[in-house]
Amino acid sequence: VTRRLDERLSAYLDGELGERERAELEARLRGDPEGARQLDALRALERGLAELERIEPDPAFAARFRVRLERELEAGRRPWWQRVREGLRSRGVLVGAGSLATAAAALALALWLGRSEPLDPDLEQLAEIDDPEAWDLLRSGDVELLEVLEILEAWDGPQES
Amino acid sequence: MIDDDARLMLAFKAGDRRAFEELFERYTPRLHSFLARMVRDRSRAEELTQDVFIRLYTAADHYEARTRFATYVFGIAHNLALNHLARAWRQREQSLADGYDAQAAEPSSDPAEQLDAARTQRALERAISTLPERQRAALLLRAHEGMGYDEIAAALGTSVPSVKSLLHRAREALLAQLGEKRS
Repeated sequence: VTRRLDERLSAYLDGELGERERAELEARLRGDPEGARQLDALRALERGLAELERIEPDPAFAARFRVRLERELEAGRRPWWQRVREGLRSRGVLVGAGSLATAAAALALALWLGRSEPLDPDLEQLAEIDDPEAWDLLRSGDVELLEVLEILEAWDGPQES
Repeated sequence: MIDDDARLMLAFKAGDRRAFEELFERYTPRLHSFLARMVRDRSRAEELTQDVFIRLYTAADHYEARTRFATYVFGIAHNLALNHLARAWRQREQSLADGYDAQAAEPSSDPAEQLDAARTQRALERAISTLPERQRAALLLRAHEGMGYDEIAAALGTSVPSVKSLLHRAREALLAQLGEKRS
């Protein structure tokens, strides 16, 4: 049975103890064989961790990344409102203004905007929209989210004046 | 003090694409390895590694060298891993806990020793995979990235005392698991 480890042993091993704490611990360990054994066990564990091999990516990783980067950059060149709409449509959110799906998405979005927990899968794509203008609109208190989603469904983009 | 990698990122921000290529070369194996052990699934780890670089690329304009670059980039990787794990948990996906095998770093010429070392490494990999995510992240950043407590705290968005506790609990859990296996 492993005796409960002293938290200071772990910090000692990492070189994170102050000078005085370190000296006190070393003095204690000289008269504490069990503590010294715990320190040896920790050192052995660290050696084992250091010897774990790196988990290398597939050799084609770099090529696949470049293809994806190009795709992402291409998508990023489209205006934000198109990206929002495409994101919603691809998730089956925008199936018609005022539909139950739209209302549910608006509710979920509103809930997410007020918290910091990880996103629901359906909203993950929205989070990738990094245009501050889009988020300002979605966050603004004077526009109902449901209305925003409905407007996006019908909108053809900013008109040239 | 700006580190060399942060300088590369600033060069990329200023328009030097070769600087991004250099960062990609330097960080791909490290990020992939970290993420593979975090999410326990190689194909997901690859996607998430790509996500990290996409973010670096597309958000370069907003980059400021406030911390060591490794702290910044592993902070992004850690957040992406946690988001993925939370999503996977919600979707009740089956993670591939045994999707990869560790090998002995320096194989011995003695087959019995080789087998022993491989068993130990596999046992260690399995034990790591059972740690809670934040303990696992702190342990990997310490053991493989050599980060100090303050850097780990910055990458995980927590405090130094919390990192101290995370590492302590992680090691205690690993020793307990490995000790049980030996007995």
